[in-house]
Amino acid sequence: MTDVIVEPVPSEAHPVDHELRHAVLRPVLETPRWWWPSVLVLGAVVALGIVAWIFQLAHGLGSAGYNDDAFWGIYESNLVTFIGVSYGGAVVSAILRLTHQSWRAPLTRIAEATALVTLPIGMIFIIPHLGNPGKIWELVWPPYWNLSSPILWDFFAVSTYLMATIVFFYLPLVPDAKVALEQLDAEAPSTRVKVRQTLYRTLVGRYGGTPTERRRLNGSIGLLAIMIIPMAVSVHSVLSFAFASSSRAGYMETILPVYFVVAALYSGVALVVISVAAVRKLFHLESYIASRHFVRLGFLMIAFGAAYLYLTFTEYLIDGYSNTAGPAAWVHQVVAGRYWVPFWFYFVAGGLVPLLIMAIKPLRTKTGVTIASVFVVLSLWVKRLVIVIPAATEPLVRAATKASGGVSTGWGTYHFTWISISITVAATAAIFLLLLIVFRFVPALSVTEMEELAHETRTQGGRS
Amino acid sequence: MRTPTRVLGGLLVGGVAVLALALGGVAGASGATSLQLRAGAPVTGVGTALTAVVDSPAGAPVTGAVVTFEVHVPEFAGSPLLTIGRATTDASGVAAFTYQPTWAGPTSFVATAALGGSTIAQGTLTASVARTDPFAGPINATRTDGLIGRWAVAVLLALVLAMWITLLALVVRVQQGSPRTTEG
Repeated sequence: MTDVIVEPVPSEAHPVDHELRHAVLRPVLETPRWWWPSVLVLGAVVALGIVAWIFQLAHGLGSAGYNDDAFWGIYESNLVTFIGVSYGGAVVSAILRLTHQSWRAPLTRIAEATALVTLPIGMIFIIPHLGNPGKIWELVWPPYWNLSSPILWDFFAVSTYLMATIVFFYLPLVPDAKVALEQLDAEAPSTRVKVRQTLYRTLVGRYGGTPTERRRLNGSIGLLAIMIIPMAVSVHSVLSFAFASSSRAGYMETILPVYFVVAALYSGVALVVISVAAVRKLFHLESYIASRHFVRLGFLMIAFGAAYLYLTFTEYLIDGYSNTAGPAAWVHQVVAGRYWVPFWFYFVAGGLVPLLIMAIKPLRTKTGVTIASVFVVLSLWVKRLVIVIPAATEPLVRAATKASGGVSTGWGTYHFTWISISITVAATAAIFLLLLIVFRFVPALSVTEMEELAHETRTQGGRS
Repeated sequence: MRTPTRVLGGLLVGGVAVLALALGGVAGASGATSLQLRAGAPVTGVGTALTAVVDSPAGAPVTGAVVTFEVHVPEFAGSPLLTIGRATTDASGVAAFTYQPTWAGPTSFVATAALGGSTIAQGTLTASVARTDPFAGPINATRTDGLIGRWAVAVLLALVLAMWITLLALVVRVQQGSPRTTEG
């Protein structure tokens, strides 16, 4: 079975590209000048988020804008957004590997690293969302399991997917860790070198890079690439069950699982583009990551974007057309009511602008695609707020104590506060902080894969 | 003698009754439509029967009024009201609803009767309720404690476990390498 998914292993050893190895391993072996200042600034932002969370612990969820009339808000949106973008990184890499796209080589490591760092950050949002972090224990400890709850299955799905993401990042890294280890052997001994040698030895294990081991490695990566696609689909659809299995208009939608999956792919590809642009610039990898990589990722992105627009149209059309009290009122609130600004911001910035940028040839550059990707990530975060907050503020409970005489049926209100904003910004900074740390220890590009594919392209006359 | 006395007595009683009815009618006419909310004895696993009796100012039963039953939710600030069900009054002016809560203990209810969209009467009641599982029963086999549910949970957990084992096996497979003697 593995023969089907194993990528061809060159019959002869591929030639070593010294220039590539030098360019890719340099940031691992030498600290770039901008690295420490960047880490300190990003670390300070993350620290501010931790301070805000401690403040929330002391003052309650109300300090983050939550109340009885808005029981879900920014943290739930962030959880969906961050886990979603991780999904994009893993699936993009998996699809490119399975379809054996030779141009993938400089992108897969960055995509897999993006998936690796965003997923745990997304998972962490469950802690501020719960309010009392002690409740986590009731989620993970079997005697407390509620097997009827979608939240518990979310936990199973996301933790399994996290494990898969770690392995998916690790396996293609093994031959590169071996290359880096060999390179380090030639370096003068120092603490920095020793730390990395220990790390690489642990990663490499007894892998020697023989053709049999290489074939076994490629088979494992291929199998994992197949596994990770349905796994990622399940993660994001199960995540939507927490919404869809409720009885609230706007949440109780059968379209939600597929809607979540497509949104995750759309924003995930966009974040991969942003990560690739940042890594390319910071680590001086312009020779290896070209405009065509951005444009191809851009096309992939807008394909998902068009599908997402269509699903948005479908959802709102059906709910509005049915004209049943709950869904119709919800559609009205979102499209023309109190949430019209964020909804139309998504529609323009996350739907039309990226499509236009990719449709107009002079705009279809690496800068254009990166700008479109920033729009997509931002607007898809806003769209998640539009999914979470309006339905959560829907008045299903009559507020008898309100000043309106006890019969208020008004919609609830969610407010952003410095607490919730600080935690959100800190989580965003944490993505880039973790990527900077990861790429100080592992090569940002998949060296051996690039050498193999370049060799294969030369010998078979393939296209890169 | 006895017959005239009986007649007089009958007239007296009848007059008093007519007077009482007339007075009652006047008193009723001067009041509003009434709603009396009552609760039956709570039965664990079955629920608590709530009955709203709606009478007109004249004391006649109001038919076709929609009664909305609500419960105070003390878990939320200000103990707001949550709608738990609706029923329409019958020819006797009675609307019945069985409340199946997932908790037990004293609970405050509000019933509001509406006719033609306008509220005509409201009643309140605090009664003790019994814990009920509204979804229990053999027809819900897909629940996690139902037959299908048990199997579904077992299969899903086995699937999760299989994935973890496969992932770990892939790592071990690559990490262990191969004997160097047979490879170049």
